[in-house]
Amino acid sequence: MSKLESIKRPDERPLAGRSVLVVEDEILIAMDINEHLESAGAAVIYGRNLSQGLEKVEQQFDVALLDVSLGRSETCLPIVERLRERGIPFVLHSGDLQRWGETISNINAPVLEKPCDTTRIVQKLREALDPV
Amino acid sequence: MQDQSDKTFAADDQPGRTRRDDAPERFRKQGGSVDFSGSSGVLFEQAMAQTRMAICLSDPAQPDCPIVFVNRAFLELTGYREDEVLGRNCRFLQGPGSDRAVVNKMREAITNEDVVIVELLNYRKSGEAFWNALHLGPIYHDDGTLRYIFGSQWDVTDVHAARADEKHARTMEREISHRMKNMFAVIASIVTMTGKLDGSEGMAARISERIRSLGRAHEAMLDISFSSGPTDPNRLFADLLAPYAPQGAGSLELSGGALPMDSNTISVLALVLHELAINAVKYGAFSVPEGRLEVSWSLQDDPAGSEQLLTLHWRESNGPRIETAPTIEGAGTGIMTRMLQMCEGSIEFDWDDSGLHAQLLFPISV
Repeated sequence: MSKLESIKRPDERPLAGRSVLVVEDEILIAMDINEHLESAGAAVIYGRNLSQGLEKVEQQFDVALLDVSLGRSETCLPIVERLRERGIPFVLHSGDLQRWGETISNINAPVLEKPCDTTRIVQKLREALDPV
Repeated sequence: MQDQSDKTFAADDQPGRTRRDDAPERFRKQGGSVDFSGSSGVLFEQAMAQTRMAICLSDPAQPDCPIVFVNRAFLELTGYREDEVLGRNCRFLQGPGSDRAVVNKMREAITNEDVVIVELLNYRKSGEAFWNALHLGPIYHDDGTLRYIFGSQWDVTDVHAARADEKHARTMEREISHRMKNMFAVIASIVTMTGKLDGSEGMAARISERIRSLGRAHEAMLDISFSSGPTDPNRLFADLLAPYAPQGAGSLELSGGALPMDSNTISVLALVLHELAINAVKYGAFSVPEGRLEVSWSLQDDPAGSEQLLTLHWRESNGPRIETAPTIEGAGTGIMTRMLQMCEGSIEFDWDDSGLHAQLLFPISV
């Protein structure tokens, strides 16, 4: 779907019937993202740090949105490993591409740079769910 | 420092062993011009031969105060041979980068027979510059007359580089602090302006206030590295609450220990305290001049391990008498409770004659 088409025919609930794992350690950002995903029709599973993310990655969901840097020196890498093993698509979300540039390019997954419009997040998650 | 001495001796003929420095012995045996005799002479000899610090003696009785003694460390530091050094005034170590003001300070100290410690850019025989920590001082005869000017030198180039890095880091810190403050202010202004144009000034004002609170909180914590362990949050709380308190910090009583802080913890604390403060201004202790607020906090270990549970008590007193149990309503409570729900925290409200009591609980990562 071209960008123009998506503007012409706005899909009210592009994530209807889908479930999304969100791992994000900034509570305010997570609140905003989760609400948008829910209003886009998604069921959200939320982990607010690495250990919660590792716990919830075992649940059933269709796609994941991962904050790259999770607190002090932790990254989402262990969660990425589990997602790869389970064959679940995911999108990375990072506010510090410079610092995590190498980590991110090694993961080789779609990346969104913070701050990012929530409609872009929904769009990227859709692309990850249905690759062209 | 250790590095330097290792370097010095690594260049030696016999690695691992210090070569004997015979310069002190030769110097003492010159006799006549030298006054180190007997046991003090032997002590001098041994001390000079052993020290890794570059040392020289100059004779103020001779024209232009020439160097009359240097130890091996001096030659190793400067790269000169002994015969290239003796008989010359030690200013030959100076060069284009040497600070004239420092040189004058040294000259003055020598004239006044003072001890002086300075740092000066000096040059080796090879032309290579190095930062020299110089210690100069007078050595006297038994009768109290001046005999030598003692000089010790130490290469502090590494220290200088570290200090320059530190200075640069501090400059950047100030710059970032300034930009961040500016950014929060600009965002708040955009919100206010948009609100005015859209006819929703009230909402815009409430958003701007929250943004300013967040800005104040992050600013208070800017010079603190989150990785260096728990931080005293007193300044954070004072900066957040004082602007709303009737007598500024004088209306506040803060008590509690250091907390592990990160930007998430700061944001949550800032917004919760902001909402409570706004409520106190409207209905509680901050609405009267003599109103007081006590905030106390403590940490409990969380059984899960990677987190600790923060308990924060908010106690208002001397406020207006509350007849019926007030309710904190509106977007403020909404933000607080939803935010705390997200992070598995909670907030509970309670009232008595003295005013509002709130108890905030939320896990913070350690």
